Amino acid sequence: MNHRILEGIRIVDFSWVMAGPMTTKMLGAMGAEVIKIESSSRPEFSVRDGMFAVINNNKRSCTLNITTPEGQEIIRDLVRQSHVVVENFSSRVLVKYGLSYDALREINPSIIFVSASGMGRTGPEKDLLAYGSLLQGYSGRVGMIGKPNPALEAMGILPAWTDPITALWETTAILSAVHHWRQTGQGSYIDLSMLEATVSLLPEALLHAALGKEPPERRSTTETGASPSGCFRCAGDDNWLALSVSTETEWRGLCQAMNDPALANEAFAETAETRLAAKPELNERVAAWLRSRDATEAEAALRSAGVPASRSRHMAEIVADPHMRERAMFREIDGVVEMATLPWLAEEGWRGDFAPTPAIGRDNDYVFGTLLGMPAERRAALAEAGTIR
Amino acid sequence: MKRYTEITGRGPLSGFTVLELGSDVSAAFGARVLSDLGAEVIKVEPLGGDPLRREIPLLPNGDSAFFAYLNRGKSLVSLDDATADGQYLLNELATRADLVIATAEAIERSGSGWTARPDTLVVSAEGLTRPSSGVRVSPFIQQHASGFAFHQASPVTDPAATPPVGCADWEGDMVGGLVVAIAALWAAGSPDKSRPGRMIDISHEDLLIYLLVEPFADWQGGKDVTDRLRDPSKGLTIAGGLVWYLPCSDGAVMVSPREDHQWQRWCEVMGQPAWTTDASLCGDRIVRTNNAARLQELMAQWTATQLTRDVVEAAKTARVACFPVSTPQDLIENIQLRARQFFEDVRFADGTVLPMPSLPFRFISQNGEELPRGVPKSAPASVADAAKLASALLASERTRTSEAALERQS
Repeated sequence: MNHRILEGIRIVDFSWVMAGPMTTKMLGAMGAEVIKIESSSRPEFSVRDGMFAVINNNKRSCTLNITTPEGQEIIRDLVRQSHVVVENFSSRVLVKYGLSYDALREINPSIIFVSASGMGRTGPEKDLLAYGSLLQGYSGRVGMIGKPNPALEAMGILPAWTDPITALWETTAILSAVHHWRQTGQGSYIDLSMLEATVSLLPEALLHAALGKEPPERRSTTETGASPSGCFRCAGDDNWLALSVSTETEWRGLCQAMNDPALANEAFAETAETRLAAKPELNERVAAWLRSRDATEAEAALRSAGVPASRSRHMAEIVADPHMRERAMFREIDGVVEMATLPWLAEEGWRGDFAPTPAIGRDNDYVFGTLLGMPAERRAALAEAGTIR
Repeated sequence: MKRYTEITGRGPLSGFTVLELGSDVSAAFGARVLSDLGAEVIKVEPLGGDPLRREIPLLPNGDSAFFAYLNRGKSLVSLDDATADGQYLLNELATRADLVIATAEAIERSGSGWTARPDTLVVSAEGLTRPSSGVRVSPFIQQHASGFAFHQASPVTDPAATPPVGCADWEGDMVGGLVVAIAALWAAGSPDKSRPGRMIDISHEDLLIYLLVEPFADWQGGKDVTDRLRDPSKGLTIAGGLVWYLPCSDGAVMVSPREDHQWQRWCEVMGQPAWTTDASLCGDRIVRTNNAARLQELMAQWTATQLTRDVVEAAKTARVACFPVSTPQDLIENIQLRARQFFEDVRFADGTVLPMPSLPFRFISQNGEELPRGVPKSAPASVADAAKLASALLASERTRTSEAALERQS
């Protein structure tokens, strides 16, 4: 069985920060040869800290100054023998350095050119400088998660959202374009908007607004229509448990777990509707019950009574979870625990290829020598001149 | 295969056929994305209809706008898979499909004897490697189990008073739809014609964890990811840049003048060019991050007297990244989204027309053919119409089978 469906596909990757790198990491995990164009003068590339190593697996790294005519000529040579170009430049840079789709399709007509930008490459706001974090505000999602506040706390700003979900849309678009190319031989141009990528995942808010309504509850803090439902503090410093009751069986399970005979006899206990009407009061009762209880024990008791419940877990606990290891979501590779490079599990336990993030410029000889056939002296001269850097 | 969906004749996935089974937002949205890209999607519902047909918001006639968002463009077939006719039709549909997208419950119901099944994406709460406990797992609970909620409320000034918080809207499930679409395209890239096909295991839990890039990087880097407490004086840098939320007289903006040259222009916009000469206040990125709370206060004194629109326009002119915090209504009216024909009108049986987001990208083939955007569409068929389509398909399949048998005899 061939898992590496993109074997033989070469991608020239100009992208940086998060959305583009996450995209090409996924494509690399499916067997594509990703050539990351870097520059040692950019701190992001030279420092490589934080999440850089998590989102730049499965790539080759070369360093090139694309602002010089020689650098641009090398890019054209590379595009000539590649299948996909991924970029998130500003509109100005694209044209200035001759890297636009119109320029590159002259060299390789069937190139798949993928442009991810904040607002898209058309429309009155196409040239606006935008970052994923700001688009979480412009898309309105921050106000749907929590009350927006100057400290930017608990309103969906961290961890990044717009960038990872843009990566998922971008990967979808590229795989569709490769499918199309394999069927027809035709390349394509994809103009992806990060704003649209974010807004398209907010249907409840948009559809309510279109009907002149507001969603009855925030799904970030509760399950709509369930009662009780919320996230409650347990014993200890920072332990929380989410639970949600929708059905009669779950309600009976909750009464059993809470061991509170009075609860089942309250006026609000009768039906799901009466419980929903009394949601604040019911949530208070649950909050009082859980406040002094051990979260792990309460979770076990609720689940065994058939009540949907989970502690609010953190990454350290998730990485240590045997279920996650069994699913190969995390694996130890050369002494380092790594996350799976693809978010699904195929037969035979395959979760995407994994090669560690390359050192900057590690593949200069491969890209400029092996692929482009440039003699060593010429490469040395270009390095001396600062074109390969 | 005869096309049952609205024929567009276009799209990169033209000729690819998907069969969708079971009730799940991620499965439905993933299949819809494939449909938007030109695939033919046949969604099989029980006789009573998919329970998501009752999900809010509802139109006055009871139709669900949310169900329409997930299922427009698909052929809907309503059948009882416990009957011989139902099983026969399901099998015929599977025989002709390239891929099945299904919930774990739907696959379990179909049994191991479903030999006509092509490659199958199976969507479940925690994956096929863990037997279901029988306890319902809602998207809300899932976001806490996966760590998404904990890390979305981290760091905070007062962890004891700030509960973990989940995604907005249906985001947690919608993002699952994108993973479904990607996995479907991956499976399509290496078609295995043997039947029954491969099982590809998609768990809601896994895919939410997969998005937690920074928390995983922090854990890998040896940081204490269990501690949510923050230093309130320092600003938040996200993907390398400092970001501020500033209330205005009629709303709020978010702004990120992260580079020194952007900061300088932003100070000019605020009428405070002198600040840039105060090295201890805002000399460079590090100083600004350390003084973020103080700077926030100073900047808010100005923005609080300004209209959101004016702040955004002034920042735009100065090439500083600055956007308003939108409401859903703002988005429906947004000039950029409108100019790009992002919304398409979906018409319901009662005549209601609602704008709904389309794919977030323009897709133009080398020959200049563009995947249509902003084209009016019909809402999905009713359950009654889905049952009628099932009957018609059954009759046509039986006729086809009889004709084939007659041909073989002659």
